[in-house]
Amino acid sequence: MTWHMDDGLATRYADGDLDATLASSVEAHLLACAPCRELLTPRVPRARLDRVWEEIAEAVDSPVPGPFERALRLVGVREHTARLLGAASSLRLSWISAGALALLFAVLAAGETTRWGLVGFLALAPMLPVAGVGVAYGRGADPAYEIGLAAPYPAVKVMLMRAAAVLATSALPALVIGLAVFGRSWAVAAWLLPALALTSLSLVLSRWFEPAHCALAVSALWLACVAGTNLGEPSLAMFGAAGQLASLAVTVVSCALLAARGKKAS
Amino acid sequence: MSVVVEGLTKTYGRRHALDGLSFTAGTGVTGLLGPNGAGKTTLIRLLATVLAPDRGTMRLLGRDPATERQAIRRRLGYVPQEPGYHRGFTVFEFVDYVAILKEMADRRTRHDEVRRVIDEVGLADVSGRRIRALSGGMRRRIGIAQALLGDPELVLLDEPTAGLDSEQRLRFRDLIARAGEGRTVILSTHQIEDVAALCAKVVVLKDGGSVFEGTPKELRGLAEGRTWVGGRKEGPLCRHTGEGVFRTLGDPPPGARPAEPTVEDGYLLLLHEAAPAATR
Amino acid sequence: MDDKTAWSDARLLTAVADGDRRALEIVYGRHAPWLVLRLGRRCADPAVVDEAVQDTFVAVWRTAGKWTGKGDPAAWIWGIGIRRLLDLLRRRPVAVAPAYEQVMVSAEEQVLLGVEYGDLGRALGALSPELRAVVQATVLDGLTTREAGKLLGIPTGTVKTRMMRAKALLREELA
Repeated sequence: MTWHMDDGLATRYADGDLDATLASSVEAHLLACAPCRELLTPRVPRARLDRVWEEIAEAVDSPVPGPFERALRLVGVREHTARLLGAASSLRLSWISAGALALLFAVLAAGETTRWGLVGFLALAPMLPVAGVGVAYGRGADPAYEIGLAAPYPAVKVMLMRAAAVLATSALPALVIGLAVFGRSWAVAAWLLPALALTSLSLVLSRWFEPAHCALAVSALWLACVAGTNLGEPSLAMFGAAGQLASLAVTVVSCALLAARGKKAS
Repeated sequence: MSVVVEGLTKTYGRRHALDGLSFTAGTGVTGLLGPNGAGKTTLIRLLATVLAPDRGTMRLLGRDPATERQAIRRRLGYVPQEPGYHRGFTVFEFVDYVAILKEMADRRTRHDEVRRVIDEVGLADVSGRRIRALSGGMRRRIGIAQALLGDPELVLLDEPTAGLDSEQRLRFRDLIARAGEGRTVILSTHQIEDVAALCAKVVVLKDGGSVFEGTPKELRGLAEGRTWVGGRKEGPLCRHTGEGVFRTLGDPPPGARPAEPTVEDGYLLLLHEAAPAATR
Repeated sequence: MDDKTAWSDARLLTAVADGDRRALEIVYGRHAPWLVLRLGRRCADPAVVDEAVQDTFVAVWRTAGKWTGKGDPAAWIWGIGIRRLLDLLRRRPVAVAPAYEQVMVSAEEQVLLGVEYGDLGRALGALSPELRAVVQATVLDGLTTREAGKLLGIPTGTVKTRMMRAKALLREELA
């Protein structure tokens, strides 16, 4: 480098008063010369630089939403709500797809065309949302749980919103698997009410116990019922009219209790 | 007084975590001292409105937590004893998450506030890093940052300096002292030096009750004229010092000479002599 | 504590790749002003320039890990900056590019130019504005033929033919 800019040249470059060829020289020089670049710093209004920096800081800091969160935004969920939902581990794409895969393999392993296969599917499908809800909130699952308890945003609301999201995201793959494996028949939807019953029951219990434990207990109870009605012969007793009615009753009572709790919290 | 607590009782089964505790706290840093199991964490959680007392009254920021919990929570900052962090979150993401829980809905103003508190605890450099990559001291500062969101009037810190090395502790003291300017900070701690350096007021808890309420200087005053060095090892309040002599509190052992007491001397003497709180 | 202001660009970029926000702020403080001015000579709309500068440093933040460590970081930043500007201009009507307008060259400036570019500088000055704009966009700004075409608002083919003509004229001039 044999020459450097002086203040005059810097001002003229900054003001656009240099002819194209000379400006090109200056620019080529600038790429290699830090002191001359520095000469230009005072030629740009501080306020303008600060304004641009604020935008950069915002873009750089803003959390990058995961695929599930982006999907929520697409269907109209507001940004801050989507954030709260997306923070739950069972509302990540990895968990949702793992649950669906587990269900698929379990059904295929049971032999999809036999009645055992159908019973197995109907017994397992409701446990998917229960497990998801069990790890979606609470002290064990949510590291900021204790902080959240002292925050104005109602913890019950977070719990219910996440439970609803888990139900929706686990019902969809279960329905698809059911339709794909068993074809169109009433049976592929027979697990829906039991799923609602089990999930709402475990939500009610989580008032007193750790949500993951509630999910485990409710699931165990469910499996015991299904196994009890299936001794020897595969039977769909749990999913017949009586079973559905019982599920409905559990769901209604649980939801009433949850609603009462939600009202009290807000 | 921003915190007025009277006759607070909380039991777990048959164990009294708090037993008729009363104290007040105003602007500045108030230290809660006490041995393990004295009820410090239970008290902090009650003040944070996370727990409800079995008996007794509380007024926080002039309001009753039983009926105006939300209003109190909006003006509250809370660092739990073992604050958890979503380890996969960046510092910014985590504080932003708590900001949402604090009802800051508008994204841009929320982000500005998050940047402000992260800057205030000196974590601006690492705000884009994942929490799992940070040191324990830095994680503790994230805890403070989230507690400062929304400029709360009451800040509760449950053993924020536990597990920090001495240099980190000094920096933390700075942070807490600054947080205590113009607001009420309640600091539960095991570190008597922290209390001596930071607090305008100390409350000593024992067996779920308050056995002392006053300034650190008054706490030290309890050992005035009752602190001795030298002599034989005698009694429960006698301990080794680095210089190979014994330091005794209470009655002087033969051949001992008086010594200048510290806040710790006052605290130890108090714990030893204080009657188990309340008569049960 | 804040001794990062004394760090070299290369060291700062390494820190930026590691997620250091403060390092990015210092890189911005050093490189934003000249980038604003230089991009301003290629686009008359300051709002578009500001947006390009913003995009540039966000890209620096996200891709600092890809910087090879070879060459001056300023050149790397410029490469990002001019392409971001192009991306923005592609989405809206082409703004005036004053850098490529004809201005009279004084004798004194000719001397300066001679120092930097020797005979090439004089030869460049002798080209017609259209031809010189193409040389500047491709040779000096480091754009591809296609990018230069977008920037100057002319088809790629025209850039190529003008470039060929410019090379022939320069060869004559320097012979």
